[in-house]
Amino acid sequence: MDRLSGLPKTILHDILARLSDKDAAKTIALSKAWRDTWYSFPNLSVCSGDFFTIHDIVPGSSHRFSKMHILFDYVTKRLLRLRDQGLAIKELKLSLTNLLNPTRGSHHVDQWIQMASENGVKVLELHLTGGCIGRDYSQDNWYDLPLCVIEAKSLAKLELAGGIRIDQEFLNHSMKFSSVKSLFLSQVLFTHERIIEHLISHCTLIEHLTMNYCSVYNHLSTEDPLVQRSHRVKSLFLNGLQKLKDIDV
Amino acid sequence: MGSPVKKIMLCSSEKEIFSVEEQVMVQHSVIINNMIEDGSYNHEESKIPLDCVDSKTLKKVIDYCTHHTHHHNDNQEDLEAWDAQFLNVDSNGLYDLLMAANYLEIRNLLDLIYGTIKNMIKGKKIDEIRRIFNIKDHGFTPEEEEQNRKEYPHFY
Repeated sequence: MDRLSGLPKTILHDILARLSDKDAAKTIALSKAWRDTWYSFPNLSVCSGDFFTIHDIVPGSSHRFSKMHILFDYVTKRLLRLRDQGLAIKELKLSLTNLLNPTRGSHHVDQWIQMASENGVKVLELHLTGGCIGRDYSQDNWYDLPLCVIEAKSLAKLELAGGIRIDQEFLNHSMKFSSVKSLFLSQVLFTHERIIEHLISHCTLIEHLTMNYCSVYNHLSTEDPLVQRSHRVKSLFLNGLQKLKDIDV
Repeated sequence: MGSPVKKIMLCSSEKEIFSVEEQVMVQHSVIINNMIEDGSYNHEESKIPLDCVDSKTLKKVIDYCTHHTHHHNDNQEDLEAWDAQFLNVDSNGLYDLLMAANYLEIRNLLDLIYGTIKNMIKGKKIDEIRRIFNIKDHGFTPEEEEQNRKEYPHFY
């Protein structure tokens, strides 16, 4: 075997971590040793744009679903492989466009987040585009953050962006977010005004907090049309977060 | 006046002793810095055994640390040119340097080597990377290799 392939796995993982997603993915076909390295690499970063273009998935496109399923399969397989080897899933970064409806993509994302949450995820980033942006607040256009994310005890960085809804169900649970240092929320909808405070109050070590374009949807005034019942966050109280270094609201 | 430059002894896997300015190694190697700080290195009798670093590699590592200690004020271009020349080695040499830098925890040398390996992969096709890495036996069966080419045609 060539010597570079024989480097310790931790060093090879350091190398993979510095490559672009595309270059890193190539190592799967480089050699058997690199493939094993790739399968044990605990960082998974996926951009749907690397799998298909917007033209591939317009309604009526013949390979619309097959293209999406290649992506679903890929992510599921890699996460399962890490889990089944008893390895941590350190980073899960998903950047997905137009995937949630009507392909039941959200069901897959739920599963991935669950696997990551149960397997020591440290960095969780979910960027969704298409769907709700620039549209109204009707039910179908939001991705509901699954409750299982509260189990992510080792989570240090949580980034949610683009049409993600955090349901008031979260208020009934204590989040194990004591390691979270960085929280980034953009275009996130809270179905109850107390959720933001509830979420942040569990992040006792938080250092960086960013919120952009987040809204609260007040479910009590049910007679109004949905779009009028959501409003932008007006006030936020932060107390006792000693480590907090910067806030960007 | 001026006290003589403090030296430390490093011992390669071939038991060859290298005498180096203490400051040079302390500045670059986290491990050696820790040994000096916690007093586990005795200047009278100690030598630091580096059983997994051969003489040729150790000499290069010392060259790197010495140059970067004495020339850190040089302009960026000159330093980069020196680094590029320094890392003009084959994949075996790169392996040895990487293992040594990792063992001694020399962060800037590690970054430099990682950057070089990154460029060896960046934007290249599989066959080209195999040639650069000197991968003669990829370990796949002919069927697996065929499957790879089918599954990831864009990598080839």
